[in-house]
Amino acid sequence: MAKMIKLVSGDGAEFEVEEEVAFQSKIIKDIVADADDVIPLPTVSSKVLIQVIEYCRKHAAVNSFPLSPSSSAAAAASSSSSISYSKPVSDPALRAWDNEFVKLNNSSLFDIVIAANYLDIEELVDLVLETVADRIKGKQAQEIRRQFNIENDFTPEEEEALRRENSWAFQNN
Amino acid sequence: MGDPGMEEVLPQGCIAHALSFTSPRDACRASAVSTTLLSAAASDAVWDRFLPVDLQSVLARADRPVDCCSKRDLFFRLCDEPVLVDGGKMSTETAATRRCRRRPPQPPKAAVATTRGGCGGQWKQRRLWRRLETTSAAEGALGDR
Repeated sequence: MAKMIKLVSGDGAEFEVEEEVAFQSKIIKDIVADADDVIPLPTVSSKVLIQVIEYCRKHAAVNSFPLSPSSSAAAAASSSSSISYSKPVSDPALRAWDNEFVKLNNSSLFDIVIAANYLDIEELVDLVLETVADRIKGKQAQEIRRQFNIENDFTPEEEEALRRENSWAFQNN
Repeated sequence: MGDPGMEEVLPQGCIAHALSFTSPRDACRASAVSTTLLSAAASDAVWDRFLPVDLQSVLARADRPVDCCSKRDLFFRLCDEPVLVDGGKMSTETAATRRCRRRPPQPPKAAVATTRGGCGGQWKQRRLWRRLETTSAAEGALGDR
């Protein structure tokens, strides 16, 4: 019988998950090490926690049964490094699953990345921010503003000066 | 009534982290979006990712020391004015740095380009924005190579 951990969202919903799923979050792993199996997460809503648990469940299943020695060696290397970075997802099926997972609007993505950062789930942070980056790439400034609902708070003079300074970047590809 | 904007929801370090997955060109375009993105796009976390992996070891062999305030400055310094190394035998110029050049090239040019990676070279990821929020030692960590 797998050991279960109870996660409690900010709006009071309780979720029992297998330890290996919860341990995708480094923060939860550390808390549980201090012998605490009920973990309140006041800043994470149930809606977002459900999505994060779904991601962790999928990735825990893959991490338990690595496809190749090199992927588990990479995992060992990254966990011992003092500089944190996430290993690239090498399993094509998992990558495809991840790509489906992030087919969300910007607002949902932002909620997930805030939670993933709080819970210290590096791969999920990187996955979401790579998706955000894909929505920035190749766009001009006005398109980026529209995409992410950002107000232009430059004066016309400031904007013109920036365009001059970075003129090579504003030519079309 | 739209969703809250990116700037209202994401910390600046997070935005910088996202920009680090784009390209020098995209980061410069993002600079013109708003004052918040200008600040995020200028951070070392972004330009760290665009610099070549072996840059420090190459710069250690430079004919003259290369002194820049920020990673962004260093990046454009390398693009605008390739650094000569090993007594002028090689330079840091690559096809990628030529694409990002902001001014016409200054002579002289050396015969052989050397660094691996150039624009878009792969650095290790750093989740600096989390460290900024949670540790006071972050300032030191940010400066470390």
